[in-house]
Amino acid sequence: MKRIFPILAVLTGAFLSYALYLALLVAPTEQTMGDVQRIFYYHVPSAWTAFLLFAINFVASVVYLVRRNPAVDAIAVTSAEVGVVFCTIVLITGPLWARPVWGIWWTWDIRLTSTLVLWLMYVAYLILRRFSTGGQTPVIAATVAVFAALDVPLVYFSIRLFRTQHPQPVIGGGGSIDPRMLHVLLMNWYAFLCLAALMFWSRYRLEILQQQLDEAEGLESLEMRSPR
Amino acid sequence: MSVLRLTTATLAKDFRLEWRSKDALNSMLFFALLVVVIFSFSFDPNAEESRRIAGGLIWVAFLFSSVVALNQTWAREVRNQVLDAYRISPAPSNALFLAKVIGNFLFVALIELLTTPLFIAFYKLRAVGPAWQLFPVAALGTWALVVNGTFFAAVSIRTRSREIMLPLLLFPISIPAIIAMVSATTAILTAEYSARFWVVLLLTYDVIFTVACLLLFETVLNAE
Amino acid sequence: MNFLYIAYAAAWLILIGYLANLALRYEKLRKEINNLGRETSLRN
Repeated sequence: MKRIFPILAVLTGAFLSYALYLALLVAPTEQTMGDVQRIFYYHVPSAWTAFLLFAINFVASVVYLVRRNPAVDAIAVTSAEVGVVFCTIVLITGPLWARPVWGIWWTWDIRLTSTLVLWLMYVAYLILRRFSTGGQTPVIAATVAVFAALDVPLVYFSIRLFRTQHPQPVIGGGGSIDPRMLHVLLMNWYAFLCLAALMFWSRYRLEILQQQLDEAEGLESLEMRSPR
Repeated sequence: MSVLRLTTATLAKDFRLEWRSKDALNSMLFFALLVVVIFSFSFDPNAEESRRIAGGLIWVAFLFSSVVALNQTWAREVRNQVLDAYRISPAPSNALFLAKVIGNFLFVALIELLTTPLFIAFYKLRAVGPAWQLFPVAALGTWALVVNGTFFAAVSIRTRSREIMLPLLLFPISIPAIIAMVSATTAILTAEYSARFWVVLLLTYDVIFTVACLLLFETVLNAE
Repeated sequence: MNFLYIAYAAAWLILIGYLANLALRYEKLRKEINNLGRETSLRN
């Protein structure tokens, strides 16, 4: 198992490099925005990856509440953490795109704003996991994750109508997309998914190891206290 | 013991205990007053603009005041190991939760009722739209904050920095509700658009999260 | 300044930063596991 990891890492690196080459050099230049629009090839795949990971977190949390399997909890915390990483990229690349194109750092664009709320919820989830004491952290965290997931459609609908009196620049563009650009976009997304999968696998193994260590330490302290 | 009887019994007990000391109520009221005053200094209550932002300001004031109230929701229970008793007893824990939520709701509603006239005075507010609609909006909005707040207060019991954990969890999840209550209030005060969508959204939010809290409270209680 | 390159660089910084963080946590965990192994064998 551990030996194929470096091979996969190299392959993923190559794929990402190829996707980067496509994004910077092969994709046609956008008419109105120019080269800056190429941020799109990192901004959108990051968003899709983050959403996918948060969805995994929701499913894992529900399954954990039903079955209380520690491996499932490991999946939950892993998907939340890696999801937050990609979500952070969305929130950084978004303003960096908005500034040169529309002259403002932030727009209350429905997608960017929803992503911000998502980021806030899952960062709070991770902080809860870190601050929680006692052995029942996974259960508590899973309930919070369920709440966060329930909130998602409400967030979307509330922001959609909010502040629409002023037409907002839509980051990511609306309407149809040039097929050549779509190809580059998808290539970058697949590459990001490979990277996310590797990060997921790493973090998951780390969590499992930590669980085993905690269990071993617990057992050891029990043994030390028992009379000989 | 039925859920309804247990809920009312717990509620009556909490009410009696609160009423005897009145400390929490008085300090909460004073805190809310201070927030309104500070807002009045920070956000110039010039009549035209104030009607537009008053909706937001008043709800932010209520949000911070409710967090202060919510933080001590379970303090008494934790101190006196009451939660262990609830875990062992066959009584439905939902009754406990419901009693706490209703108690918090009445508490925060009282604070809102007492501070709103002050707000109106400082900001020279006058509702252009139908003012009576502000009551259902306030009720739904307060319930949204209080139901999730009570739940997350329970979640925060076994965490370090308990007092900060509650707002950290509550604020992001409450964003749709806050957007809705602020927009609805602004709609009523300025009559520039209809509050209907926002009231429906708020109602939906309340239903979804009340059900979620009731379903998951037992899990959280047993996990603490 | 060229926002395109800053954006890409920022994305990579975040990703590499996270990977580095994971590597660090692995190291700490490995050390703890070794300590545990040593303590157990010392007692036995």
